[in-house]
Amino acid sequence: MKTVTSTTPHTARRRGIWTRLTWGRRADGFSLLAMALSLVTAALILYPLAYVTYSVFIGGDASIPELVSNILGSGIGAVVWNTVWVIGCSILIATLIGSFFAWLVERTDIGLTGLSRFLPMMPLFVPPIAGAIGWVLLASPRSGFLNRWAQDGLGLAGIDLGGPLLNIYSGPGLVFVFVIYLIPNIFMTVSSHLRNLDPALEEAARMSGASVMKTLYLVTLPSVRPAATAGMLLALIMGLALFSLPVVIGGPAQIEVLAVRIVNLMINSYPPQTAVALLLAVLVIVVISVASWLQVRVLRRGNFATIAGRGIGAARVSLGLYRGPARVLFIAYLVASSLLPFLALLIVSLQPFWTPVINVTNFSLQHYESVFIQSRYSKAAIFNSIWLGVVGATVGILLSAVIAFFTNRQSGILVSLIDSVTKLPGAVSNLVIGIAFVVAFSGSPFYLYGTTLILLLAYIVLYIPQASLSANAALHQVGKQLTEASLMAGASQGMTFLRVTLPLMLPGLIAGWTLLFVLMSGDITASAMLAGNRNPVVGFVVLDLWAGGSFPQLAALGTVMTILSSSVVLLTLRLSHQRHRG
Amino acid sequence: MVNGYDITLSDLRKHYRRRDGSSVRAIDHISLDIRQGEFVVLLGSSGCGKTTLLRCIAGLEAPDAGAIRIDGKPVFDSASNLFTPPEHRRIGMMFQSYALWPHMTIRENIQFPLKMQKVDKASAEKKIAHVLEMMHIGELAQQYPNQLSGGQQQRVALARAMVCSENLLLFDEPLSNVDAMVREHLRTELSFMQKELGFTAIYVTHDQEEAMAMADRIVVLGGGRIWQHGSPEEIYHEPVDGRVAAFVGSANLIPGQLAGTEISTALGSMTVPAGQIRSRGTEVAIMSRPEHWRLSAAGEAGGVASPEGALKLRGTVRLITHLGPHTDYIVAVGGQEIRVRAYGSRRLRVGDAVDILIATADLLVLDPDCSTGDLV
Ligand SMILES: Nc1ncnc2c1ncn2[C@@H]1O[C@H](COP(=O)(O)OP(=O)(O)OP(=O)(O)O)[C@@H](O)[C@H]1O
Ligand SMILES: [Mg+2]
Repeated sequence: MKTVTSTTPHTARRRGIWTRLTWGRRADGFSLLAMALSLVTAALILYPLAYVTYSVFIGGDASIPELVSNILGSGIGAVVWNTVWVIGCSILIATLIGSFFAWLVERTDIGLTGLSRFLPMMPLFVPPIAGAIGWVLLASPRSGFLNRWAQDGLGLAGIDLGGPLLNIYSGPGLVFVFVIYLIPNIFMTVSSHLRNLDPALEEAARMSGASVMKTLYLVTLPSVRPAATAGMLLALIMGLALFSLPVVIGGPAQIEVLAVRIVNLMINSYPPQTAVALLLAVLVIVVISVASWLQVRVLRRGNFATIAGRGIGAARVSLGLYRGPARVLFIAYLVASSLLPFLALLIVSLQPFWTPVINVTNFSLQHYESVFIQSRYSKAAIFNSIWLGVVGATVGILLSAVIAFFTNRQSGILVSLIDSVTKLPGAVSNLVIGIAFVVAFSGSPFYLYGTTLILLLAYIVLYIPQASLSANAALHQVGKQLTEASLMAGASQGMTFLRVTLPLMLPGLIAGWTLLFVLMSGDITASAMLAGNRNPVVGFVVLDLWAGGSFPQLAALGTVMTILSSSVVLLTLRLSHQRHRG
Repeated sequence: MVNGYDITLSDLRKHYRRRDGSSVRAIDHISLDIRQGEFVVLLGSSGCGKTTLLRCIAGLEAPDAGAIRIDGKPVFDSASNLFTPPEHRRIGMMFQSYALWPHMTIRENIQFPLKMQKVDKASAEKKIAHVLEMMHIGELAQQYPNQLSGGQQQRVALARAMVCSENLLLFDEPLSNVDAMVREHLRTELSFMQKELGFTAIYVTHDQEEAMAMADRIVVLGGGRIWQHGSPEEIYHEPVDGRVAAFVGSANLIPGQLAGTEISTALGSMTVPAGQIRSRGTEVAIMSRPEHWRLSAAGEAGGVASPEGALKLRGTVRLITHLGPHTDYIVAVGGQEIRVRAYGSRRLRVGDAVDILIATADLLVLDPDCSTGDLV
């Protein structure tokens, strides 16, 4: 019995220009849809960048030599130097600590498996802006809680410090908060690499007579170097684009970094000095490109360690006496990055005014009332941030999932173009995207200035690299043969995506969605340039309150932001955990 | 019993570009006809293009050039720019990693192809019940793949492939992940099933024993080309050149120069019956199989006589390998090593001088490899 005909005319396909572009692959409805989505996304990324470049540097009246001398005359040297040493030191320290934590969790008997699951998500629990404000409340020289407690405690012991113990408004203070927010990047990449690294490699080294330390140094470290450099690159991109930490802490400390200078050129000068800002942002792009190039070289040089993917049951290194101190260190990080700043925010938000003396009888909800009930403006901001986060994250992650599936199944010039374009915003930095959106979409023919739509579009473009990273990671969890088996079973590309690939990607996509939601709803950088009184979002309101110095209200807003993102993160963690067990 | 598909491959080519810019000819002008219901094994060393060829037939790769017809219908033709995607080829495939979908139960895994092919519910149920029973996995139907042993997963993968198509099944080293016992068992079962159900099977392996055991026809591949194809006996007894002989079973190859029926070698001059000379060039290799040699202690009374039409050599035992029913001796003869397979015990030790003897009718004179033969 012959039941099926293998070829019907509509499935057979003529190979024309399309084929040459997507080299030898099939164009069915799903591919066309994916293609269209990819092109729209690419256009959304490329158009504003091209437009701003053209209108500022070519069509505009700015002359580059004039701009350069303008920039050189504005004390840019100090700004660049600040940026270099703050970010440089932060990345180095974060790499050391992050890799160490990763090794502790993946390869030693430190335990704490429950807690370590949270570590990569620290910045998601307490958004950077909230964390920065929290640490100001904890360690500002005059009324920081920690300073006051230290003074009181040491005073009891008869020691007089003669001044504050900690000063967050300083170089080390700024580096400290940067390190807190960069560690998870490193930890995440290194630990996932360690998890996939065949423990047999290390076991073989031990069998060859290498000690624990020798093995760590000669086998483990070299084989995680690619992951560590990838993490460092992530940290560099994030560090250069982070605007919230340096604006909150660098401002009073008089340490201006590039990100702050660029945003200020756009929002604190009238008229906005777009050309100067853009030129500085180009400098950031150059740095990131050079770093990516270096990273590729490192990756090429370091032979990739074999990834066996069955890295269960690795014999763990016994820490012995060091187990206690290692645990303390690990927990100290978690406390410093989340619990302490959150408590500080919570306490100050309940106080009538910020004071290091805690008096519970004075606690009240008045600031919450003024921020969330009385002010229609911040109420609107919260509402906007939440729906922008939900819609933006959903659109962003689904878009990226389709594009990832499409670009992985196909090959060709067009596909690699799409692939690089979606990575572009990561290399271009948030600042340029912000500027580009202001210039390209504010006026004719779009007139999007002051709308939430411009924010939504900007958020999607800004965070598409993170979205496609998550989507690609999720896709790679799904073995290639699983997809091929579905095609062989007679499922079309679209059916395969819906029935096999998407369900298997889901845990990864949920994690990606959470990341996007938190990033979008807490975005400061783009919001500083694109939001206003007509389209307020939380990030914008925070900057406003910060400028006005109203700490208790800031604390109230920070507390709510923290609770909001933590609950979303915990909820999705629960969801994906359940799915894994199911 | 259904009709297996017949397959015609015409002048297929496929190259890959490596990262460093160099290009690899994974398939280099391959033409092959596969008959209905035939069990074809693609055999070759690692990297010779077996997987690539199989994936081209499946539609998971598009060749650069050539044509593929399955069941008389073209599914790929570079001349007319035709390419049928895998989901429309209706071919079953068993993957090396099994590729069972972890979010579906065993039953759902097997059901999936039927759903995609829009088979009506009643006959789908019948089919699933049948295949579950046939593969002895009925009691596993509600389990998830990660709750199964390797051997069980393999059965499910085979069941799913058989549901995909009753006419053509592709296998890419499906048995390489399980232990020898299970492998042997499944191999036998698969052979029976193929004969009983009548589907066409294309099976990739680099295990020559597996190839011998299962194939109606073995296709020996090397460097993207077909070195030889034929029944297992043909490949074993009539290899076209030294490479094939060495790849399939073990072979002794003595290099020499051919003049008429005389071959001068490092072991002296030998005469081989004209019917045994298959070479086209003058640089040849004299091929013999270890089991055709006979062996005795040197000069032993009642030992090997030297009748007419035989070749007798004297050498020293280098290595003795006991393999149960037979024993392999590596005998050094004037700088050459010859493997001799003997049955029963000989009470020989390493270092003993021995006489070895073979009928010249059991020698084959071959080109060392076809490509150099072509040049001469
Ligand atoms: N995607 C690819 N990109 C580049 N080269 C490839 C790719 N796939 C296969 N090759 C090359 O094509 C050649 C044939 O590969 P193929 O996988 O068909 O070998 P194989 O015979 O299946 O080997 P094995 O027995 O090891 O599985 C090899 O040299 C391989 O390096
Ligand atoms: Mg292969």
